[in-house]
Order: sequence, then structure tokens, then C-alpha cells
Amino acid sequence: MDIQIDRVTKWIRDALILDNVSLELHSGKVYGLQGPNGSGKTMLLRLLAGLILPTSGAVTIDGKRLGKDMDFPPSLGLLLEGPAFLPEYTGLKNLELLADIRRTASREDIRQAIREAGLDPDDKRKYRKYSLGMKQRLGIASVLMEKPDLLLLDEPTNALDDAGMEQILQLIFRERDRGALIVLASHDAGLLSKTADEVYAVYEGRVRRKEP
Amino acid sequence: MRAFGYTLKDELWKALHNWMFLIALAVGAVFIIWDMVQVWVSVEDFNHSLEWMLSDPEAVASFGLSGSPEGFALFNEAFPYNPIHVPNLQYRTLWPVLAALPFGWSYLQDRRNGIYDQIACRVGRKGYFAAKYLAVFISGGLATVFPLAAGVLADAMIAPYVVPQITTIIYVISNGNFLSRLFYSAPWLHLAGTCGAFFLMGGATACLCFLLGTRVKLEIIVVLFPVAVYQVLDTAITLLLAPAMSEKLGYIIEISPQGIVMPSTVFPNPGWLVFLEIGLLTAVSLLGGYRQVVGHELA
Repeated sequence: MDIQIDRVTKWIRDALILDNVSLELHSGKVYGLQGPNGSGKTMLLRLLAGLILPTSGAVTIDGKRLGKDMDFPPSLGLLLEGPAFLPEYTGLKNLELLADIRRTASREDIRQAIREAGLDPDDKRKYRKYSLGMKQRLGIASVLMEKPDLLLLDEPTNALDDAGMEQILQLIFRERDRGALIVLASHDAGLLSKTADEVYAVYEGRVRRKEP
Repeated sequence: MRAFGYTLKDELWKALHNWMFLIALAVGAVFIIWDMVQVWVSVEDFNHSLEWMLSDPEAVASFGLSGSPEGFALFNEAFPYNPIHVPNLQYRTLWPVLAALPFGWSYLQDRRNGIYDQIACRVGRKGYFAAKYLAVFISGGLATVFPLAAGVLADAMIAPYVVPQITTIIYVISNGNFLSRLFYSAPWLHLAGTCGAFFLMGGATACLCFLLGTRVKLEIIVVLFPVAVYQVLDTAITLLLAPAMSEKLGYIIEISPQGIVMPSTVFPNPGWLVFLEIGLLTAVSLLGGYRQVVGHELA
């Protein structure tokens, strides 16, 4: 998978969110976006996910323009601004409902993803009873279960302890080695230096490559 | 298309397997039980009157009465056919809440907790909206119809069934009412037709929740939105439109969305008007909802 972000600018009402951003992203690599809160990292991920469209410029995925030739990337795993699940169902039921839409992940794939993220698929507790760390792990499992070609992860290690962080890092490396394209947004420079092949600084909607 | 089918199945499952849907059914059950009590009291009154009339015909004659109590049968006593029963009056006001309660709030919840992003990127914005709209429509329609259909069946355990006679004056349905001919020939079919129209009305009403989009923070406001709109419309129609209609036309027809499908309307509610109003409400909720859900990337 090759993604080209070509001179993208995004205005929301009177606010300039992304300012003439150009990037090239390729499969089998981890890209890090580093910046303070409100710098535009999450908006850049939302742009890559097709959830917002550029005011000017274009995002193309394998030659197809996002928002014109396709609404969303065809194989996408998304963890944005914290995990998103229904509070009244168990973790397993939540993932089954999501996986049921595309039906690319089997029941065993879902259970396996939950185990890999460090949770018990047979846990009968409702999602609302989960701790913050468990919610984050379930979010990671939802990204992994369908083995997507593009993973967009916003602060994936939030609320995790050291062991949990290490576990997630190993999963990110495994997905990269599988050939997935991973974009990781974090304010944590240490995390990005450990995981990302290329790191970009995001500040006031502008993006600059950080030298290693 | 397959992804849409699976999404629709999931949304329907969520719409019919949540606490709010069960609460809507429970509120409907309260209406049913409330009305059964009222019908039972009417039966007792009828029996006492009949006993008295049979035991003391001279006293009956001295009051100038005919010698038989006022007629009493299922289709003039049952909820929703009796316009003076308290459950009927309450239901006329509150059914829009029952319609919105099961799943009208779900779009706001999906947007607030990010589930919209997860579903939309798998099935597309239009697919998400279509599945959500149908789920809200169907759950709202079912919750609205349940007290009507089950209420008449429950009352049938108490009140005797006879085919309504057009020559009696005990029935509120007359020429110009929705399916009035069916009422006096096949009343159960009339009930089925009324329930069908109420299902569509309840569904369209529930989908009005989409019009608010994400402008409000609390789901309770979304649930109360349709009843608030209908209450304002009902008041405006009663105070402004009905007098004008009476003056210009010489008669009044029922146009308030709260009462137009109720079989016990005071004013005529012809079928064409019932379906025109359902069509308008569906169009408004569909177009407004599409604008909110598909058209707003950051709604």
C-alpha cells in the first residue's frame, strides 16, 4: 500500500487545522507523528482514515483518490482518541458486532486478537466495567482482529503500564513485519523513537520530518 | 451491499436488545394494565346498572330511562378506541416519547463515543445512515404499536366483542375517519390497519431524532425532541389553524401529528391525510438525517 498526501490543507470554520501537508507513506513501515495536544496529529489521522476531507489538496491510496474514488481506505484498523465501544456489551460482543460488518475476521481471529492484547475473551464483564487500561487493550484488539493493511493508532499506549506498553510495541513490530503500514501519533518522543522508522513533528497543522 | 446487510442486522439487533427498548415496552405495558383496570370498572358499572334496572323497573321508569344500560362492547371501550379513557388521553400525548426511546438516541451515542468512525469506515457513511435509519424506524414503530395492539387484545379478555353497529351512537368513528368503513364491517382489520399506520407514524417520528444531529450533549434531549415538536405543533394547530379552518371551510379535520393516527380522533382524519402526513414526516427525517449524518464530517 502506498499513500500520498499531496499539499493538503484543512480548514474547519475559521481554524486552519492542516497547513499544506505533503507526505509519502509505504507498506511495511511505522510512521510516527509527534506533537503537543491540538497540533493536528489526530486530524491528520482522521484525514488518512477518510473521516474528514481536505479543503484543498488530495490523499491518494494506491493511485485512488480518497473521497472521490473511494470513501474510506479498503482495509483499515483505527484507534482514534481512545477506544470506541458500546458500554452495555462485553468486550467480545463489541468486537463481534464490529467484525460482523465486513466478516473478514473469524470468531477465532477475534478471540485471538483479544488474547494478544492481554485480555480474556471469556470475560463476562460489560465494557463499562472495564478499567482504562482494559479499554485501551480492547481498542488495540479491535485494530488487530481484521489484520488490516493500514493501521492508524492515536496514543495507543495511553493508560497502559510498562508491561502493557511493551506488549503493544511487540504487536506493532509484528504488524509491520506482516507488511502493514502503521501511522502512530503520540506526544511521547521516547515511544516513537523506539517504534517508528520515520518520525514527523506536527505543530500548528504543519508537518516536518525529524532527523534520526 | 453485503456489508450493509450485515450492518443492518447488527443495528436491528442493538435496537431490539437494549434497556431503552425494554423500558419502552414496559411503559406500553403500564398503559395496557391501566386501561384493563378502567375497562374492568366499566364492566362492573354496567353489571350494577343492569341488575338495578332488572330489579326495580318502576324506579327506572321514574327516571325516564329506557330500561337498558348504555351499550358496552370491546370496540367502544378498548384502548385506543375510547377517547375519554385517561390512558387514551395520556397515550395521545406521550406516544412520541415511546417511539424515540428505544433507539432514537443511538446516533448521538455513536458519534460521542467514536463508534460512528468504526462503523462508517467499514460500511461507508451512506451505509451507516441507511442501517441506522431503518433500525431507529423499526424499533420506534414497534414500541409505538405494542400498547395499541396488545391493549385491545388484553381488553378482549374483559369486554365482550360485537361487530360495531353503525346505527348506534356509542362509537366515535364516523364517516371521514381513517378506515371507518372497515371499522363497521371488520373491526379487527380496522385495528390491524390502524396499527400499520401507527407503526409507520411511530417509525417516522423516532427518526426525527436525527434532525438534532450532535447539537445537544444529552441523549434525553434527543428522546424528548419529537414530543416537544409535536406539542408545539398541536398547540399551534389548536389555537391558530383549527379556528381558521373552521371559519374558512365550515369544518375541522385532524391534522395534529399527535392525534392524526389515533382511531379516536374528535375530528375526521381521512386516510389520504394520514399517509400524506406520514410521508412528509418520513421525508423530513430522511433528508434532515442524511444531511446530519452523511453530510457533516464533524457532526
